[in-house]
Formats: sequence, structure tokens, C-alpha cells
Amino acid sequence: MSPARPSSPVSADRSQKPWPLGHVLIAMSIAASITTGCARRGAEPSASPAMDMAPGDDLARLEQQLSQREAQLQAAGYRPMERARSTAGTAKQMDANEGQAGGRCRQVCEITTAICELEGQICGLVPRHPEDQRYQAACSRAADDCRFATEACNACT
Amino acid sequence: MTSPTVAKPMPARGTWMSLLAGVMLGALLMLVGLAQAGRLAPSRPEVLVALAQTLEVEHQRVDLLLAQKDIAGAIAALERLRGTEWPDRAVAGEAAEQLRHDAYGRLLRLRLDHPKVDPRTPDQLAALASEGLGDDYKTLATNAFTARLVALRGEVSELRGDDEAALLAYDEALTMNHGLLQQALTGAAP
Repeated sequence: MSPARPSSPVSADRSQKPWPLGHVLIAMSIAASITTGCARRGAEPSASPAMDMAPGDDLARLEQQLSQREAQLQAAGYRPMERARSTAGTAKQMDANEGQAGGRCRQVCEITTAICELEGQICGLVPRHPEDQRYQAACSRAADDCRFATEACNACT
Repeated sequence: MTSPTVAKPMPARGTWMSLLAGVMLGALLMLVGLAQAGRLAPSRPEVLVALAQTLEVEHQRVDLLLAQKDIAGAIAALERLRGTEWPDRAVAGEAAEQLRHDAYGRLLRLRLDHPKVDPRTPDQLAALASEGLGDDYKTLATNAFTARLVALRGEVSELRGDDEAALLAYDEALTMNHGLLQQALTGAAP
């Protein structure tokens, strides 16, 4: 008669304890997937932050508050920007689509400006530390980033 | 000769109990983790909306003051903003912190560009940068406001004669901007 195959520590544990570790881990990963999905959906930017507000009273109060502040600014001689809450027609929608690409290019070029400014600042430190390779390495990296970003900006516009 | 296999009875009740407990524990841990990271929607979105609207108006006021060459007035307006009670991440989400970084960045830029207006020492400017960034800015999603404030912190470090800290701050800001550029190029930018 062959000896009984020894059971693994996990299965032995399973037979004795009311909280099987394997099941708990599997269930935790399922739950993690579900909650991550929910959280991602929740974290996605909505068309308007106000859409997230359930109570209509709060929204009305905030609108009123904003209007008061705009009135104060207008009284001071400043004209607040037109808000997106105005009705958008078809032509406006087409403009918006074209503007989206332009907006992305503007964004790329703004980031390029920031990167190239940082290049200037980082490389400006190098003469004060000629013996330190880290400054030179950081300068080279910043120069590469600036070059790449500039090309991206030029290609976009 | 084959040995008979004995099927063990399934402990159905215990299995389902453990499955349910696992699901609940997993969900709880994930929610706590996400909430701490600020990736969940703000618990009070109306606070974020109110903050954003208030800041929009205040920034417009600063625009107006700068257009009138009233640098001192603009700095004073931003200092008043600094004194307001900023909602934390748990209440108003990550966006609230990014908005704070925007306001502090603007104030610090003005102070660096106009050192003779209501002067501050380099150490005071460093304190201003640290106060604006907060302790856990590195856990925020990459954004332009935080990147700018980190770069400004580098300028302040240079002003203090601390090139080592300046290099670190500039390099950190460069990494953030590199990430932002990649996001913009792939269309993943917020």
C-alpha cells in the first residue's frame, strides 16, 4: 500500500481554518479590479465640475456667488471672460473641434517653453561646478529634452 | 489496480464566507489606498467648485492689478489667498492642491521678479515654496502647476546659494514636464 500523498501546507491549512488564504487573495484581487474600475470612472473629468453636484440649491448658490463677484469686477472696470455656459451652436462646435487640435499644440509649445527654460537654468549651474559631472549630465539631458520638445512644437504648429 | 479516490465534501458555507470576506477586505483596502492617494472623486465636490470659482475671480483681479502696473496690489491679493484655509485632498480632491500650487506659483513668480516690492528674504521665499507645495506633492498626478512651483523652488535655492538643491528641483521639474509633454503628444493630457 502506497503511503498517502502529503497534502500541501496550503490545502492542510484550508481544511482546518475557516479563512482560506488562497480564496481570500483571489477575492481581494477581484475586488481590487472592480473597485479600481469604479474609481477610474469616478476620477474621469466630467464635462463640468458642476455636473458632479447633486444638490441643485448648492449650484444655484454658487452661481449667484459667482455672479456677484463678476458684478464687483465689472464695477471695477474689468469685463469677465465669456463663459462656456452660453449656448453652443453647430458652428461653435466645429470651431471647438478645430480649437481642440490648436489647444493641444498650444499645450505642447507651452511645455516646450517650460522645458527649455529649465535647460537654461540647469546649464547655467554648470560653470559654477565644472568638476561635478552630475551638473553636466543634467545639462545634457535637459538639452536633449529641449531639442525634442522644440521639434514636437514645430511639427505641431 | 486503481485506488479509489475519495471526494472530500466541499465546505460550501465556509468557502462563500471566506470569498465574501475577501471581496469586502479587498474593496476596503483599495478604497482606502485610492482615497489616500486622492485619486477618488472629492468627497465634497461643491467645495472644489467654490474654490475654483473663487480662485478664477481672484486671478482675474490679479490680472487687472498687473495691467494697472500695481505689483504691490497683486502681491497683496495673492498673499490674501495664501492666508485662506485651503481644503485638503480628502475633501476637494487632487485638483484643490493643484489650484493651490497655481496660486503659490504665481505669488512666488511675482516675488522673484519684483524683489524690491514688499521684500522677502531668500529663506522666507523658500518657506513660501515649501508651504505651497505641501508635504505630499510628489503623490499628485503630474501637472503643470506643481511642475512650475518645483522649478520656482529651484530658483529660490539658487538665490540662497544652494546649487545642489537647485539642481535637484530643476531636474525634478524637468522630469515632470517631460511626462506632461509625453501626455500631450499621446493625447492623454487632462
